[in-house]
Amino acid sequence: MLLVSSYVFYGWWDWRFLSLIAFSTIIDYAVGLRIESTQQQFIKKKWLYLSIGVNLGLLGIFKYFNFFIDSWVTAFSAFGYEMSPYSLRIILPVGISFYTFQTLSYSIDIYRGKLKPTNDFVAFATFVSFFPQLVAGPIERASHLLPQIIKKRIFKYNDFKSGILQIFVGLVRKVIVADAIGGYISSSMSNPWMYNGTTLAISIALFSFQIYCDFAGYSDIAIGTAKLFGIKLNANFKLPYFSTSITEFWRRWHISLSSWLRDYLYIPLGGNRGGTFKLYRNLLLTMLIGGLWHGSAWTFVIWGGLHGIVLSIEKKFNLVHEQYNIIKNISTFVIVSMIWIFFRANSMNDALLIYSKIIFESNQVPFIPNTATLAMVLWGLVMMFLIDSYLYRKNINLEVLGESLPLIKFVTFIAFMMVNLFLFQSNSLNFIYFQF
Amino acid sequence: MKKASILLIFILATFYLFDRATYLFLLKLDSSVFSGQDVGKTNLFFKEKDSVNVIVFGSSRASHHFNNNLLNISSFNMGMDGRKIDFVDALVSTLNRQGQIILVHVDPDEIITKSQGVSNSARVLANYYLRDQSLRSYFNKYQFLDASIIRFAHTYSYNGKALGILKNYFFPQTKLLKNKGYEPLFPTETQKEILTKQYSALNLDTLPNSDITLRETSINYEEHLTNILEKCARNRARLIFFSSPTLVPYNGPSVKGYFDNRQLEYYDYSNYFNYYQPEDWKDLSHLSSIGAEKFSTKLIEEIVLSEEIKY
Repeated sequence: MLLVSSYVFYGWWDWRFLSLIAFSTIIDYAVGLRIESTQQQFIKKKWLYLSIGVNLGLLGIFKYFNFFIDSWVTAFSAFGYEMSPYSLRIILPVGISFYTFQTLSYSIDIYRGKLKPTNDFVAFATFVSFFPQLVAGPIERASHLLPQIIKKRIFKYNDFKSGILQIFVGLVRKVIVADAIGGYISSSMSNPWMYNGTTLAISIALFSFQIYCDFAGYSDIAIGTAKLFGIKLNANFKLPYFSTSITEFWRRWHISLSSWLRDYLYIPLGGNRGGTFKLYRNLLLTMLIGGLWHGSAWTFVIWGGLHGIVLSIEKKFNLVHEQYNIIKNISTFVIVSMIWIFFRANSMNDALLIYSKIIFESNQVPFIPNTATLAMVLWGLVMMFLIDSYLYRKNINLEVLGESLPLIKFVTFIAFMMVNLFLFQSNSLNFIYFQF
Repeated sequence: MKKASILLIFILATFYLFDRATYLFLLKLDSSVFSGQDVGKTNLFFKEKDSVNVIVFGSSRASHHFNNNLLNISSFNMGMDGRKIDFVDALVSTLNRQGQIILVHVDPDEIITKSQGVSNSARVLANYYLRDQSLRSYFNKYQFLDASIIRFAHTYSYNGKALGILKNYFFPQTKLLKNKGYEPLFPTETQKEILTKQYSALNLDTLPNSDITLRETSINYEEHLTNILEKCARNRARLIFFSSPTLVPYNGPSVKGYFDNRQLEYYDYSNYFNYYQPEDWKDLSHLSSIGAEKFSTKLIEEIVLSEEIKY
């Protein structure tokens, strides 16, 4: 039932890409069994390479083909060779970055002997395509999700309660905060040449909240929905803007991706071992690839690279402290926001223009396009801040908030959020991470 | 499962109480709000609509461009940001007074089928759904609103309006009432700076070709236009269409042809300002109060609305 729902859900967007997810599923299912059944290490390796080749190949074709062609043409043009750019302009299948990483981890874990392959094809196909988290994560590991799919699930009142609450918090984040900000800053972010530095600085600070509420909102809805089916997905965000360093930020932001990159890229590259040079090289390489994972543009690569550099600096000068400090918190937020510029800008030129304007034109009066939308943005931010600061002060995750609240508070909170959703929901925009 | 069902019922019951209490609270405040672009202006319209001689309808270009205070008979300017022909249709359907003069601002892009989908800009009147019979019938006919959602959650009729109502209730302004709905624009230095950049970047060669022919006109526009014509005929109202100046040009003569073919009164002032003077503009498609004054004076002078309207 879950498998059928998941395929219907995915096919609703574009049924043609069902074949892609089915192909990836069949390959990794077969590879898993083959790796397990053979004793010879080099044959195991061959099967693993097949899985890596197929998954990264699909990702390469559908996500990076245009990027590499364009970059190739640009590089040649720089040396005076004019090339006619031949590009297929391939459509990016929604969620491909997420489910290929999920299936890759399955094959790698079996190769490493950390996981036994499943014989249950339906369960495996459900693991790959589980609809709440299919299009934008969290990226789940087979060791965590597969056993939950295989075993008989029973309805648990506490899961239901916490799931409902998380769905509503996710909706508030997405349709009240993120979408209102998206509408408010779209013009300044798309046409930075028209606006002064103060306006752009405010816009980029707001974008920091937009992307957080958009992506964390999706994760909350996905995790909450999964709970209604008796499945617990891993937390993907842990109040990242309360971080006091970039290192801590990455422990709290898109946790399923950062832990994936740590386990399947950073550690295999050598991790902290092999001397100072290798440590920083590995860190930088991991973040560059992490950046490229987000999108096929140089702006994403630079975004990842800048995070890698700041992480290296923090490591080198031992700047990571666990204790909360408001100055460090604000500094971290400013650094993260400044790096988001590369993530949000439509082009490298736009990104550089935004930087120069923020640096040289930040003493001017900000332009407020619409006071009514600004009021809604501020209201949304206040709501988000109240929820997040409550979680931070109580030191609990949103995943367990529903269970911990007494009934009256729980019901009042949900009803309050529902009324707010009806009063303040904005014109819905697509989830930002759908494009990745 | 039983416990979860009870919880759901408990949630719905609490939501029902919250929703109705919030709705009644907002309704109470709403009825005393007469300032602000959205709720306040609509309330003013409903207060004035059957007592004034002239009503101006249209988008923000109507509210910011036509200074109806220059008329010497009673009038109200009901132009509102982003509103289209469906909005005009919805409000005209509520008019009761006989013999009024109805001025409708035309944004020619709206008439082109290819560039416009079905317009549902009348959604902004959602807070009247539960309390105005003619608007309710209108919304039910065109299904612009998720009426079932409003019946379930009354607060949805105040979607996007609550903060504006609170602000205008506690900090009311009299500008709208004083200016009879006309909203002059006084651009700030930043806006002037942005306009200069926009204007210098404006490439007239790349503008879309809005070649309007009768065959390409929007069915959506036609339908609302027919409703307006019928209502105005019943009310023996005089209906006048006009286009105001813009820096983004479109094909004026064929728009005129569209109205001429229907024997409707239409005045095209889209290219009224022959050369660009920054003080006349707020942005590429909106006049400043200075530009609006010039345009309104000219429009009233030129068209001579009727015998009883003197400039």
